[in-house]
Amino acid sequence: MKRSLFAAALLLAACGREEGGNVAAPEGNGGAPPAAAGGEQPKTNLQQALAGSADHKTLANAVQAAGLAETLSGAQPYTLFAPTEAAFQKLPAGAADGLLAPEAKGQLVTLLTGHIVPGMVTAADLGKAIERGKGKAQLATVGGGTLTFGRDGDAIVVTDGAGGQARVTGAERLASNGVVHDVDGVLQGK
Amino acid sequence: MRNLILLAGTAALAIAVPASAEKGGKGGGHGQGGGKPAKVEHGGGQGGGQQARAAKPAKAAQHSVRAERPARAERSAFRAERPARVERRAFRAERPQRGERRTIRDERRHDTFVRRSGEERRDFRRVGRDVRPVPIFRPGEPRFVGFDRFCPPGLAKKGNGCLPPGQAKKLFARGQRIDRNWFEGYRIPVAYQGFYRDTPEHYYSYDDSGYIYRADRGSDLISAIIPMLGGGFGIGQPLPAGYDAYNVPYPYRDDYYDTDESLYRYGDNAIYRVDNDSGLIEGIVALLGGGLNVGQELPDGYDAYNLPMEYRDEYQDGDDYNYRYADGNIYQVDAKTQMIQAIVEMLA
Repeated sequence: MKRSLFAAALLLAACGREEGGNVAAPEGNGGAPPAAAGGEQPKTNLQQALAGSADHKTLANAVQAAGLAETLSGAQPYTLFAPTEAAFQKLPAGAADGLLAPEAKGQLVTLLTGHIVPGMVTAADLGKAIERGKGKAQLATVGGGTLTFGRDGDAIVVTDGAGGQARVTGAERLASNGVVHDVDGVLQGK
Repeated sequence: MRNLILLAGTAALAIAVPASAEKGGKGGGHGQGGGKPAKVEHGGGQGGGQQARAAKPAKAAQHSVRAERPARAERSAFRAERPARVERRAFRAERPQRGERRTIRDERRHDTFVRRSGEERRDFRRVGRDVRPVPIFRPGEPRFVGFDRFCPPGLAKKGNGCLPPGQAKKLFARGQRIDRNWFEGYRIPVAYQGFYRDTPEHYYSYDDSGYIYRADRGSDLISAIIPMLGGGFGIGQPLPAGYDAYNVPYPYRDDYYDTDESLYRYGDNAIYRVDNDSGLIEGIVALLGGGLNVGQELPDGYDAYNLPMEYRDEYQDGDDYNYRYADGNIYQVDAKTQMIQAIVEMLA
């Protein structure tokens, strides 16, 4: 049964890719994916997924520097809104390097935890929550902030506590302990 | 400016000794700084304390007072006036409190006992010789001493938990009187409110400095400083005082339990892995959102269904109930009232 569930989730992810990365809410309650045959449970955890992605090298380094690698490779589930390399390049010159400096570790942890949401929120779950919330859904981050999600056409847009916005891009990637959504901007921690 | 403060601290010390000796007891010292603004007291106290430790005038003075064997009340007055005390209180390892009803007076007596022990005197001399202290722990001794004793180079050494210098000036020290006006307009972030609730004995304050302060309701004296994630703590730094006991939330205990090599401690919505020998934080192994409790309304931020895949076939949102994951638990929520009704699963 579990296998079929994950297969369904993967199928959803594949559908999302075809539609530009933003998966429509499935039918039925709770975002539980419909049963489907084939596929396997993801073998990589969130940390491994980041480390193996060419588009998340800066983020992977930041996670390592902040000491959060164990968190993302642990048993507890998280949803990670992962800024891409392009997202970090939008920051002012030197800002990304400054965040990796030892004296900025506190700020770095705050920043990163503002991208992590407890539990496993798939794109389908997010889409359904936005629908149910009449165009708006809020997710609490483990850093103590709140991210607000809405739609801009087909795309899902996320707004951080400081009013900064980014788009959810690409397809979600399921991991054994969570899910990764790419975002094209770096969000503020609170 | 710093020199002036140090000078003031030393001068106050010099005045305090004869004054207490002459008055024969009552001395104004018990007021913990009297009516002075907390921030001023903070700087003066610490500066004076550092000066005293470097040049040892405080210790010499202390010996002279002890040699004369003044009345107990006199000694008490002398201690209260001594500026070095604030700093010592700040970095001394905090013993686990036996009960919330403990009074400030009890704590003061306890502190006096610790300060007179051979252990404490040995540390004092070591600092006076300007030799970097090495963290050596004996069985049963508190490991998490924090507050500047082993700050990495470049970070503040003012009894504030190794903060960068720019942030250090905002902080209050443990044992200091809190200035309620300073915290006006601030609220403890929602994610932390469930963990740090006011009690009849204590209240909590927060000022964006990255720390939550627990203060005694009667005296306004700060009895604990609780760092929040990102408040200056990170890998390679010691946990602050007050983390001697294993305190990992129940759903996480199967995954994170103390071993000979590593200890796990929960604080400021995270579980830290700490090296058993050095007492330094080695990693953050879990992040907790906090804020969900049975009997309360589902807070903002849980709009989306977020259960792990393996539980989705069993717990689906419906007309009657919704389900949400947080901090190792799956909560059942009434779909109409949004009240959290039960924990239906603990993920181990």
